[in-house]
Amino acid sequence: MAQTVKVTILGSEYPLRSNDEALTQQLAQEVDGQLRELQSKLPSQSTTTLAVLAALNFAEQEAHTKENERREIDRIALDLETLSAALEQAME
Amino acid sequence: MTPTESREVVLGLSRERLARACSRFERVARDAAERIVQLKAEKFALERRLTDLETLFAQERQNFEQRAALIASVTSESEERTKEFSNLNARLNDQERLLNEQIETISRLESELENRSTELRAQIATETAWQSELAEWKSKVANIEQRLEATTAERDDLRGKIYEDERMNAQYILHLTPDDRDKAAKAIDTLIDQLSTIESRTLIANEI
Repeated sequence: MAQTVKVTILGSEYPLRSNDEALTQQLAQEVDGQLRELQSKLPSQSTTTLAVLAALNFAEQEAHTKENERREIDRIALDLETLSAALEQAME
Repeated sequence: MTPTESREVVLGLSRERLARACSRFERVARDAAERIVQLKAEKFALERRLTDLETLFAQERQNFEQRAALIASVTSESEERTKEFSNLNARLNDQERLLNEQIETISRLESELENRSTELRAQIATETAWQSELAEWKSKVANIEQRLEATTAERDDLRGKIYEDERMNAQYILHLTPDDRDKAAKAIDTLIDQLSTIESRTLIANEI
């Protein structure tokens, strides 16, 4: 059941609707950590720029994650095909 | 198409491939499971068959060992009987040799018996002849005994006469010539000789 979860990012509080408060808090902490890391490296940049950079970083991580997922799926599919072939050969 | 959409398409293809692989694997795994169940049943049946065969093999092995022992016993007994047969054969040969010797002895004895039979027949003939001659001699002896009795009676008469003559001569002078006395003496000697001869023949006849 969706509920209102209050998260704090770079000192600003945001009320959010979520079904999983713990996950929402964890994601908020990751975003906050990412923005604070960029802010420490680029203290002169605006919050918007830091947010864009953080979004790019998350997009890059997602792209890497999907690529890894695809590779893992392909590997598992290959393994399954190999196992299937081996089983078929074994049953012949 | 954005990079995100492109990645989603590629990822979708991979997922479809994974889904096909999963489907194929599920099918193959299900077939394999059925095959495994079937193989387990066959394995169970084969294990039971193997157990039965092991039991049968053990029984056959026991039977074989018993038969081997029986064959060994029969072989040993056969060897003993062969040995006994050899001994009996040797004894039979000895007995055959002894029998041949006995047959030869019997033949020799038969020949000797035939000779003895011939001799016996000859002796029987001789005995028959001797018996005939003995009967003849007995008849002669009987005659001689009769003559001896007659001669003895005659001698007794003559002795009586001689006694009477001597008694008469003692009363009367007997006038005899020398020739008469010689004739009388010769007649007496002749009678005495005949009497001795009869006595000798009587003794011989009794001895026979």
